[in-house]
Amino acid sequence: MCFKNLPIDFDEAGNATLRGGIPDPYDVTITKPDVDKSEAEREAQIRELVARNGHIKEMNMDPVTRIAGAMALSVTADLEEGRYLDARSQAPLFRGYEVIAMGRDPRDAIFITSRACGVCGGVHAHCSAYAIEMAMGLAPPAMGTVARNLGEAAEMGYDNPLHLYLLAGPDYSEPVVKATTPHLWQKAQSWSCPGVSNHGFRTMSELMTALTPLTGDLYREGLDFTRLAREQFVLLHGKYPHPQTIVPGGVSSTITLQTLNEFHSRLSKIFDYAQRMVAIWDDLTEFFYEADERYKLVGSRPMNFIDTGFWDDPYAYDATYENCNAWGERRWATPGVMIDGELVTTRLTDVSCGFEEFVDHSFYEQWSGGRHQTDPLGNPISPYHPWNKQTLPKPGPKSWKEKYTWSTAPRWDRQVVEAGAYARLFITARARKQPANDFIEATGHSLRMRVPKGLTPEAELEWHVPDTWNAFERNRGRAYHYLFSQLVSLASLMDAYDLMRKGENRVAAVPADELPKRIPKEPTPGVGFWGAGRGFLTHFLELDQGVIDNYQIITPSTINASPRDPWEQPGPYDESVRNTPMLEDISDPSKFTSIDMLRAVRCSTRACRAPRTCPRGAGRSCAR
Amino acid sequence: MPAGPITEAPRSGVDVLVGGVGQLYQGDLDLGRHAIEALAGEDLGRGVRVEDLHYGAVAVVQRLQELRPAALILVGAAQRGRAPGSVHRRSIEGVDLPPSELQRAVGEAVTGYVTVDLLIEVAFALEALPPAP
Repeated sequence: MCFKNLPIDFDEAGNATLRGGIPDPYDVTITKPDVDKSEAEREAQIRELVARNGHIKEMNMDPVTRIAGAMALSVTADLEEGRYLDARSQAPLFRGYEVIAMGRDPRDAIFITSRACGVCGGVHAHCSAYAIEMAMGLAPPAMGTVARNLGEAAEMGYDNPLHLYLLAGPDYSEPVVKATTPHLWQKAQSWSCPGVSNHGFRTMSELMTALTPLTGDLYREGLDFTRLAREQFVLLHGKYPHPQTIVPGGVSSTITLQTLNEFHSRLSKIFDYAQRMVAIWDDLTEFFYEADERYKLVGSRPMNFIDTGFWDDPYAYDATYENCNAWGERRWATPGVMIDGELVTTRLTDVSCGFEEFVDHSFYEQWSGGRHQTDPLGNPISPYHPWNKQTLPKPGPKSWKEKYTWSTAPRWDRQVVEAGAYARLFITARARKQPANDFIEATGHSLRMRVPKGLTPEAELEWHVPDTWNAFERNRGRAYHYLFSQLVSLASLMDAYDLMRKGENRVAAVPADELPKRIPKEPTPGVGFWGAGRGFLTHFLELDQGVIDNYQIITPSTINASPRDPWEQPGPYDESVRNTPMLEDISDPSKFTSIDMLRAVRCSTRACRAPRTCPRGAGRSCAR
Repeated sequence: MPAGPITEAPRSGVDVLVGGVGQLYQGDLDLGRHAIEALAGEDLGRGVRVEDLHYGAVAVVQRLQELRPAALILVGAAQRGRAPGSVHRRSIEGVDLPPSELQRAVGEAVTGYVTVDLLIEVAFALEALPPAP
């Protein structure tokens, strides 16, 4: 029984049914979450504060830099009290990949939707292939799944350092800390780093200097390691970003012993770096906590997470929806949902059935009806479920009460959940369902990671489920996720060598020229449950007459940057900002930078909606 | 202390690198790649190399660090307020932007933007442009 709000019951076999006696169980006025304060009450409170306090400031950040240029944030700040009263994140650009995909050969979707993100340049291609192969009934051979695992671990090897050192890291660098919190810089100069033996920085100030954009050692080293990861990906899939070798039923790459050896030679360089990364973000976090406990509130929000799992067991994944709970729970990162720190499910069918997307405050028309009342297993799904959703763009003026963003409001069981690479750590640690392996152990409250010897000796590192959730823990979690992903890579590489030794080199279910014959003509749904650098990723589709009849992408940024929902619950970003105290020096309001708020936002994600090439000065996106 | 850059390649012998910058199906009509495809079939002389450089400014910078060409010629399309189709040649000897703008350029590059201007800014910021003649 994982649903608190949706009226869904389960029988002893785990089959879900709608509770009887409710005439319209998905009506938003009937099935409602608990909301502590209504939007009207909140607005009245802000109006009252504005009337008696001249320190209330409205701010618009458009774009929020170092996030992707495709996100804006409007906040109301009380500079006297040092707190944010309200926040609304907005996606100012229409992407429209779902519309572009309509009516096309399903195989085109792999290449079209790949462009949904300019950073994670392979995850959408993979997710699309998963959805299509489910509809086509094509299960990849084991080596095909292992090749995907390796490529996607490499992609995390690209994404995580990029995020930590090029996007989030500068917020903790010498120039920023000196300018916004001079007293912290003073403390940093004499604060001895506990992790000096791992990362080499004697004091926190040395570490912060190394985070300085363009000139800092860590910034530049981060760039170098993104290259190593790209090389790994390209070895397997020929091209990055936007690989051309991800196909329904596997990959079209040629995997040889040389490929694996070259991949291995690069992977072996990563483990020392990963240990250093963990030590750096451990030390940064502890420094800020020690300096001021209120940093634990920066970006804080409940531990509500959703994740679809990542990296398949090559011997369990069969590309069917019927068995998705079984193969999902065999993933290296376990799928699931956590609410208030408690794991409520690890079943992909529950993840899907509880999922809804609302457009009350989004520039879309509400679609009517829905073609599916259940998923392919007979579990009930909402009219707001992605399999029922239609993308109906409706641009218009921005209005907080009406519509103000191109992002939708995804919710699970009508609750606000967060996506992130760290959600993988939480759910995997709690679930303890990982395949047996030599490198990662889920304990229920932590993940123990055994790191092979490199230049530094073999070591065991442990990520603990934190007792508080905030910007610093997100960054720390991402650093541990980097190590986690590279250990998945090592385990998968051993799988690949094993398969090669057995002569199981086949990487695709069927030859390319047989694919057209496998495209169903009758209406057939499919879903890709996959992951991005920032966590949760799904592609839902419906094929009919051999072409795409509906396509729906839900990215982690859609979830995290979501607007208010029908019950006026703020999305994860907005909630994080509201809970963030202003800890920077605001004695001179003209120098106010909002650094604490920016840390709260930049720790989470980058917008997975990067625009396409567009001449500068003509706007940053070309919606087609 | 952290390691320095992983790769410090010797000069490759490429005198002139001609790169196309653009993306398939996008608003720049993919001019850079079309130009490269056309030039690839031409005899441009010894030491001239033609490459597609559309794959992101930071990755291209790393390619420049690898090849270390004596001169770099970039071909792409950008909206400048002139009549569509106007051909313009710019000579770049440096980029007059403050560090904060160069940081912004790197941030944009790693989050997926691809333009000729951005490539030049990032290459300048990361000291990968060939030395001025």
